[in-house]
Amino acid sequence: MAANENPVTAPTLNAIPKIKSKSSYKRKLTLYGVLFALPWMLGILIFSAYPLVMSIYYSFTSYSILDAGQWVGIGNYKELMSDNTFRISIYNTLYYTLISVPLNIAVGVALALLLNTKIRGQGIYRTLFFIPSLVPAVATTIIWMWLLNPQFGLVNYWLEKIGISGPPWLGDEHWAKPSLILMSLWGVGQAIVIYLAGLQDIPQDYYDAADVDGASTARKLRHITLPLMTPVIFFNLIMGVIGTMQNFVLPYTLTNGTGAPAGSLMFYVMYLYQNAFLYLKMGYASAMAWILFLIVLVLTILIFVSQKRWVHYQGKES
Amino acid sequence: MKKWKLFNGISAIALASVVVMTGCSSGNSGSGGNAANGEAGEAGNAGASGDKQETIDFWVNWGGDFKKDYQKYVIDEFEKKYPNIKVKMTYVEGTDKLLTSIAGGNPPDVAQLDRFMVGSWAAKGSLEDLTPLTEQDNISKDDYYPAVWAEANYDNKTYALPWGTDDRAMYYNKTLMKEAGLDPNKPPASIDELDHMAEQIFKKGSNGKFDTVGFIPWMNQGSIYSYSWNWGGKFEDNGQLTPNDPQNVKALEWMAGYAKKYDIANLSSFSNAMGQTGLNPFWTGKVGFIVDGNWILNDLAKTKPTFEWGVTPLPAPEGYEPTTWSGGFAYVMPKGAKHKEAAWTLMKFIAGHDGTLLWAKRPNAGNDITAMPKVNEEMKMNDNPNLKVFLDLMPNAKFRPVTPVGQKLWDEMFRVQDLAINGKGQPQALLDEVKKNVNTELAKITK
Repeated sequence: MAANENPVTAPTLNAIPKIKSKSSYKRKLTLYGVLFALPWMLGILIFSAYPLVMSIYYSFTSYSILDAGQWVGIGNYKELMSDNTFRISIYNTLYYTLISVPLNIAVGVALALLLNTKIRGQGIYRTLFFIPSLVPAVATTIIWMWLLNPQFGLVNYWLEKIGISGPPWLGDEHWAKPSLILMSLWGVGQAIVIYLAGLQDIPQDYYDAADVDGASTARKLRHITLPLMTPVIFFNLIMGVIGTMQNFVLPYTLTNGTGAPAGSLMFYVMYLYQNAFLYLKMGYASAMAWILFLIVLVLTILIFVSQKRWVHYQGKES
Repeated sequence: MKKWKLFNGISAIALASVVVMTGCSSGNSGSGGNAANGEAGEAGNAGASGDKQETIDFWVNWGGDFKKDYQKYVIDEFEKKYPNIKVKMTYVEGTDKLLTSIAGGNPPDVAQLDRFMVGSWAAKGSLEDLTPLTEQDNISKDDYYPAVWAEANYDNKTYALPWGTDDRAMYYNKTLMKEAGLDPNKPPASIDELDHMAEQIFKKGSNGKFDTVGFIPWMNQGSIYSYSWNWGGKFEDNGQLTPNDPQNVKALEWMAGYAKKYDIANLSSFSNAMGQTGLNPFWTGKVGFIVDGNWILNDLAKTKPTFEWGVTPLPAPEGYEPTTWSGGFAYVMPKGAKHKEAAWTLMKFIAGHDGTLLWAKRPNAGNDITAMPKVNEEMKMNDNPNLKVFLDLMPNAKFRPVTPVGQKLWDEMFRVQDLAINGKGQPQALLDEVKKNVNTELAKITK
């Protein structure tokens, strides 16, 4: 409170040596500002910046957590290039990202549009779709393991009812990743909330104008709703890519960290974790972390560059 | 005027508190370090004089009932016997925290560690060498099973005291055997017999999926490790790791043969389905033969199977003796432990005869076997015919090679086993790759 009122009162106080005191007062303010922000600044420096910088250094050593290791130059990076499991983990992770993120966006937008229709019990439906995203990842995994159980699972039971012999899902290398993508849709509720907020942002005027012109619902969707949703989709796309590239909890709990069957569920961060904490190869893992960072960076830049072509902000010429 | 003062006052107080806080925290860490050093010094003195109260940090891998029972049956007894030592038992999940605590120079005094990891941790210099202490207190390999003791040693030095063990054998479902027209009292004695009998038991339901299976080699404790040893294969020879031993290749080929013959997708369907029931597949009565450990005998009280069953050593191919392999836990003293003397007193009690016996005597000990043959004898574990099968195998049990790359080797073996049964690569090529990978790792460490 005092700080807020102060700027008004201060100049009247020291009217005589005006210029000098003002600057010293400003300096004081800066000092206090820095002092108050210091705990957080220190926190970031010590707990984020320092480890970050050190991990660059470690990526060039054979650091094992238990001993400091030796300088190996680009040895870790070179070794990664010929590491089969590393290659598989990149493939799996990209596969997962490239399918799961667009699918999540499509399903999320579609559901948001449905949940935005003005019907009775709208709030209840919205809540119902949001609830699954409140379930912790491990619990989700277990629920889905049961649903996808090859012999007693509901999914295969229904498939059998319509005459299809269900696949072994998580037990089969070709079906394991699709199963995982299916599971990831379970958490789409978070994104729906953002899409719904985006939908509320679209001014009614556009629709009214379209109605006057006699536009159909499909045309309104195509030419008003979707273009004006693109900023929100853009946000979810970037967050989705960053999130899925670091996919860990689901496949780790599903396979106990083995990535079975046939390595089809070995994801990038899982292998990174294995190297760091099971094989005590922290240096190697640090190198992996930086490669992941670069991959995510490149993907994010690509998305950013592409936004000119497809993202439309309201009130901007496009 | 007043407001300005007020502001000054407030900011002065805030500033002072920030200074005090930062001062405090840095002071704390500084004095914390000092206190720790001081304590270590005192501990040395206390150990020598033996009359000063000491508290030692003890980390275990399980919480809940284990922790409660272990406190009640073992640690309380220890504290009664050594009134000047207090044991602070903490449940710490996984090894990550132990790892970082050692790296940070503030580890517990005693910790429970999977025995199989002792080699790699010792190689990194993160465990205290216990050799002089074991010699001084006459703790020797004769107290433990050979495999168990071997796992606690690396490079001719003792780094851990073994505690608890297990081994593997084959369970067979007599009821299913009878239904398939086999003699339920003649379990398979060779791999050929096993293959033949298993074939009779595999049965598909109307939907084309297996209702009952004869045998899935990789189910539960069945693994490339079990079969390699049964085929007379090796993982270590003359200090070299030999995952691609010709006999290991044969074992993997045999496993992959099952995947091909009975269709891996269908087998996975069955084993995944079973795996999720939370019930051991064998106790569902839908599996003819399975490789599993002595610990599944503990499920009997709960599951009360309605079928007849038996247990026998895992059959070997013609010309080879049946074998088993064992694992278990150990107690270690992490490098940098502050109360070394008291920690050793605790270790030799809980991993020695007294503590092992106290733990074996707990009312719910079930079918767990201890790492000490003498205790198993005292407890008359041999009177249980099922447990006897496992105990008889223990003296010749194999163990995973004690090497800095033990975990890597283990994960690699399971990785290629999974690839082989899924038809991705030939056993020979896959195991050659394992050899190459672990050797690369080893070369880096020994360099």
